[in-house]
Amino acid sequence: MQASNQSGRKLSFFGILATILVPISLYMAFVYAPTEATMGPVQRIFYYHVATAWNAFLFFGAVAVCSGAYLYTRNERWNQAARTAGELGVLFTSLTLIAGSLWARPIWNVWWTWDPRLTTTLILWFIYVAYLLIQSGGAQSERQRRFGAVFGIVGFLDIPLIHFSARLWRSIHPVVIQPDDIGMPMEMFVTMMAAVVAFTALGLWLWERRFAVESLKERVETLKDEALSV
Amino acid sequence: MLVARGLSVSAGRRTILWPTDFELRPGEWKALVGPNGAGKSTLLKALALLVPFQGALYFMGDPVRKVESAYRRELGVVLHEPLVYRGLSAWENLMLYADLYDLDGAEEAVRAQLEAVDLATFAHEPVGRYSRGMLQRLALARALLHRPRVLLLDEPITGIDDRGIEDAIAIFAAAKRQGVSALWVTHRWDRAWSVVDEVVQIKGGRLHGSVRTDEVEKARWSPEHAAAKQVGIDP
Amino acid sequence: MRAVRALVRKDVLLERRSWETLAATGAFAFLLAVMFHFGFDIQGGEARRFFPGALWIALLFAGTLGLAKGASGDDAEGNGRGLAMAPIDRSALFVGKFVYHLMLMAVVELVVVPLFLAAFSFGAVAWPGLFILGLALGTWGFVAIGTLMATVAGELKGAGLIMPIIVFPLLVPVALGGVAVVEAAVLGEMDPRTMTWIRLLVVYDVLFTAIPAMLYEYIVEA
Repeated sequence: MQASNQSGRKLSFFGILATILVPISLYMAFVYAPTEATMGPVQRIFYYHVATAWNAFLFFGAVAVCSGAYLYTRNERWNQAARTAGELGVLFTSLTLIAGSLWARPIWNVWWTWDPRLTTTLILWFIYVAYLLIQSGGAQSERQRRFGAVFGIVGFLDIPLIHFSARLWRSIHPVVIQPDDIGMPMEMFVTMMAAVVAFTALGLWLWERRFAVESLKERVETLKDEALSV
Repeated sequence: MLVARGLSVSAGRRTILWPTDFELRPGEWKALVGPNGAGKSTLLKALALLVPFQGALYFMGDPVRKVESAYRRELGVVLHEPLVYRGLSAWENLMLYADLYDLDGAEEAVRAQLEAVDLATFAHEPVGRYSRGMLQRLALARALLHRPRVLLLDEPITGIDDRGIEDAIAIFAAAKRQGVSALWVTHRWDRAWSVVDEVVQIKGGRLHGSVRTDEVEKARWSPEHAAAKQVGIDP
Repeated sequence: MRAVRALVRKDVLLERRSWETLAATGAFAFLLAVMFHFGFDIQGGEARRFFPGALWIALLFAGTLGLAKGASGDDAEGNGRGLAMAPIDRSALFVGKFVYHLMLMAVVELVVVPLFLAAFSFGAVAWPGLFILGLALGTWGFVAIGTLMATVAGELKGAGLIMPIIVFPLLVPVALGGVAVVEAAVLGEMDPRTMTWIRLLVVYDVLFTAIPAMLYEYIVEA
């Protein structure tokens, strides 16, 4: 029997990390960091927007790596890891898109633009959703898992190309608004990094929990199988 | 020639074939019998590299993974499906396989095989029109086309009429004389008796008994008989 | 390689017997051409702007249909296993399918492109060379990714239905690049960006042809 994740009562390493870091970053984002001159308090979303965006791409990388490991070893646990990473990836990508939208409305007066980074994120979202579609369903055939794994890797490799083409396309029509803050005061930068680190810990913790649940589910299935085949 | 040690197959956490030792010497033919779901086809598919397995498999002394291409070249496999394209003719099907197995003198070889299984007259008809027996004969031809040294046969003579069966047995006997080894999975061990050297039993994913055909008179042996009298070796 | 030629010949022969895939793909593209013609209802010069996008949409949709059909053929009779057991390079299985689908798309485009040119009231294309290059590079990338996904999916239930959802996001560079280059070719307006698009398409094509070819042994049955 596995020890740590079964009890569910104890917090794992990432759990502890997240529990400490998230409140700290909350404090930093809302109290410590100065209010931005032009945009006002709304700008504070930015810290979490960056954090969730970072997580979105991080987890996609995780999907690709775990899928690669699965194809190489054919050990189903890798595919489970990939799948759960994919779920979290959808979560964080959705959060990124929503937060971005909420930020855009008061600042730019639009809910959406076809800015290259937004476009890429949106397509990333589609790819994640497609990935989950493939990986859905309890009883997966080996072929289905392989299909999902290949897709995960190909999708990941494609993202830079997609982003590049979105930027190249966009350069035809001048972009009115530049969302980038090139220079920012030290406090803001630190706050941003804090949020990124905190959310990375949070994300990893969620992944760990989700993976544990999936493992348990699979054990139940196996036990059921064994009971029925006797 | 072909040696398996601790070969096991599992799907998820469920074990279909428990760690098994199995061996085929040159020219040795073994029949594998057992009830449905016992794992006969699974063992065969593992040896054919069609399903992932744990354990070691050696061909001519080398681990199969190291000499995979050479191993495949020497394998002739007959499965439940004939593995032929219904939209093509027998000739085109066999020519395809001749190319895939990089045979010299492909046309000659194909023609010879088609004659051996008595399909020469229908060689250019689309296979979709073939009867069950004809499909099976074509599958045999496909498996033997490249003169493999190891045959893995899963119910190779099902659906063929008696005349065809006689022809097939003759082909098998000839191959055996030339040093070909084979694993013959079947329910009808009586048909295989005249060709194979040993009949091995499998049940619940485990081998559990075998009989050498030259030692025991066919009429006196049956799997039930063997189970009751503990004839043969119990692992 | 002998194996690749044999595999391509096999698919071509099968297609010649039934014409199923070609007919379905061609018919779908033709239908789209007609629908675009009436749907957009544009005169003369205006039409030119929509042409590149409409053309690529039709080709990609119709092509995806053809891919899904092609992949299930091998698998339905379990024949894929017969091929996999042969002592051929695993990548040959991919390359064989790739070449076949490329040929299919070439035939489809030979018919559909003039059709579209007519539907959009085009006289002639300004730079035919660039036009063909754009079509070729885009089709290549599409077929590479599509073949990979279709062969891995095989007979998965519902694979044909979700194939577009799966493949299209991956094709964004191909779609954008293809449209950009075709647009430049049709309008006769070259732009520093056009060269970049061409380079992007080449990178895409090379990446997604080389990777499946190299990794195919991990992707196909163990």
